[in-house]
Amino acid sequence: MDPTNLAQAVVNGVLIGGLYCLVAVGLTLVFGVMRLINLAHGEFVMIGSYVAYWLLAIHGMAIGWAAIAAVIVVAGIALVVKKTLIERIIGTPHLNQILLTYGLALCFQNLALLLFSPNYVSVTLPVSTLTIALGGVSVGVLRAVVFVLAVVLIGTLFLFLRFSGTGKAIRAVAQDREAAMYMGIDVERMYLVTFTIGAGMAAVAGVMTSLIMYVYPYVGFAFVVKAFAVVILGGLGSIGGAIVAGLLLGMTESVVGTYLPGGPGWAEGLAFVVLIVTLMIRPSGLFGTKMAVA
Amino acid sequence: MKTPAFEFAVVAGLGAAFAFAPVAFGPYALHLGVVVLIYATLALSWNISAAAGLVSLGHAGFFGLGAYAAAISSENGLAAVAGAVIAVVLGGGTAALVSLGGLRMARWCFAITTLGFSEAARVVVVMTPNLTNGPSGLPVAPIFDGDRTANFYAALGMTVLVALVTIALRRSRVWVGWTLVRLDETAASTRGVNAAALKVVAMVISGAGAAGAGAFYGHYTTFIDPRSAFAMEISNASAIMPIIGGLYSLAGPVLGAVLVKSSAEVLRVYAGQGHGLAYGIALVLAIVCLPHGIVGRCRAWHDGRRAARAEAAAYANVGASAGGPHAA
Repeated sequence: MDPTNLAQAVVNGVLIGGLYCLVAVGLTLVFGVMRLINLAHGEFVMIGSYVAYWLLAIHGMAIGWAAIAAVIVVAGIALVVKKTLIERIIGTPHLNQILLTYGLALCFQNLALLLFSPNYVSVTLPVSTLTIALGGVSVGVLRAVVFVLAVVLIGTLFLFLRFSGTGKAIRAVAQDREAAMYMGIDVERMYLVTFTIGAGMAAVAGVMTSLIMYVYPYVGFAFVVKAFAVVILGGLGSIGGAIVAGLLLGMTESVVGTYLPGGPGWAEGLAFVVLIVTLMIRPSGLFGTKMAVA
Repeated sequence: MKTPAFEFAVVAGLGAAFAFAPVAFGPYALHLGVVVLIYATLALSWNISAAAGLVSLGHAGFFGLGAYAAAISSENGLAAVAGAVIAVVLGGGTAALVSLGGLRMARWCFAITTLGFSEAARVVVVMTPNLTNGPSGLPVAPIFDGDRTANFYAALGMTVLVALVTIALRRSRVWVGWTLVRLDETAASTRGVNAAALKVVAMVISGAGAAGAGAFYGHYTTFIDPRSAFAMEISNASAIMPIIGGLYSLAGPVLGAVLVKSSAEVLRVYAGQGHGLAYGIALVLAIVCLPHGIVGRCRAWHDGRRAARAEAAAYANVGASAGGPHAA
């Protein structure tokens, strides 16, 4: 095993893992605070990536504005979905939530099929082909930027939850909904803020997907299975766990893809293996508490 | 429990209508009929595992494995019946593994696991080209020399068979056990119900049925590839048809298949790519507005855990004293 090769595989994996983290952190936050299993979470990634693709590749908008537009569109959709549908299923059995959000995901996927056709598309920027070499390991500049941005975003979320008033209120709701309510916290508003933050992070991940991977109507589905594997491996509701597990999944996929014959094909099924093995051996995940999966 | 007379009437009426369809309609309607019957078989199979509280979002996995078992058998010169038996055994065996793996999972975890399972099954098929010819797919020998009317009656026979299995199961103690496990597994276990065995049995029957439908699908279309045999639409439809029609009943899945699949096929003609929108809207509406399904006799999904626990205990008491509870 050539050490440079291995290093290259690990670096590639970590860079993609940052993207997984961004999606999974939103999913696990929504679960932790709202006790909601959202199978439509990946569709926020999909919508974000199509908005970015549409603005960047078709209308030639600047990347920054396109990203902001994507976040605004997705946050708007998330608000509407939360008000019209999600509110009806908070507090109902998880199975119920899964079926409703799954139906919602199907709606979004098929709307994307109607609007954009099933073809794979992507955005090419002038920097898309730039790479820098770090001691034998070559790193795509765009991928590195995307990774750094993911780290910054998750770090900001962490600081927001830790130190801001709203962030503290959100954590209080996650710990004990009723106690938070007695302390005068507007629980419904915290739900709305949490859901929108989760969707917004997914939208950013979507913009990144359009830049460094491909966009297609089922891209959200691919993300959501991986995100659930990450969230369950990390322990439901645990943001730190999601970060560790997201990087781990990205790295494992990349190493499997590099070293196994036909690797990239097999790597597609890896999330499922992670999911089922975690659920069988340690359903509370690496950092979760027992109650999380009950 | 006995299947209520009106459900028999609905299913028998549909069966009779289907039986005369080849006389009355043209080739496209006949093709539509075959597709609806394949999906009705899927819906009835899905309904069986759902009766035990196992909600699967990955029945395409069993369906696709069944289709591939049939294709590989026919490639090696086996008769279609032998291929179907292999498919059913493979589907049942895989379902046993999936349910054993998911035995201790929370129900929603199981649903997500099955979602991943069908994807993993597709990956395995794509990645073993020596056996499956990979992404390019395999031809399957036609049955009855490709005669559409004969295929139609065969599909009808398959659906009737699964319906009869459902009727027989609903009369048996197994169904009572499934109902108890579904309503409250913990309460059922404390009353001496072997929840693990019941869940595995339900999943095996369900997976075998879906694989049988897949085998038939392969012979009917005479060509399969991973994309069509493991299509998400199959998993989605399997779950949505019984939910719309009415869960745990006999008429519900059949009615749901007729309504959902035929409208999706008609939409495919007009809307093309996005016809799956019908499934999404149907599922959202079913959960929000129609928790009891069209047949409307099953329990609401919205029941709180406490209500379910109390009822399960009550049922279990009835079961102990009267020899058989009347399942919801």
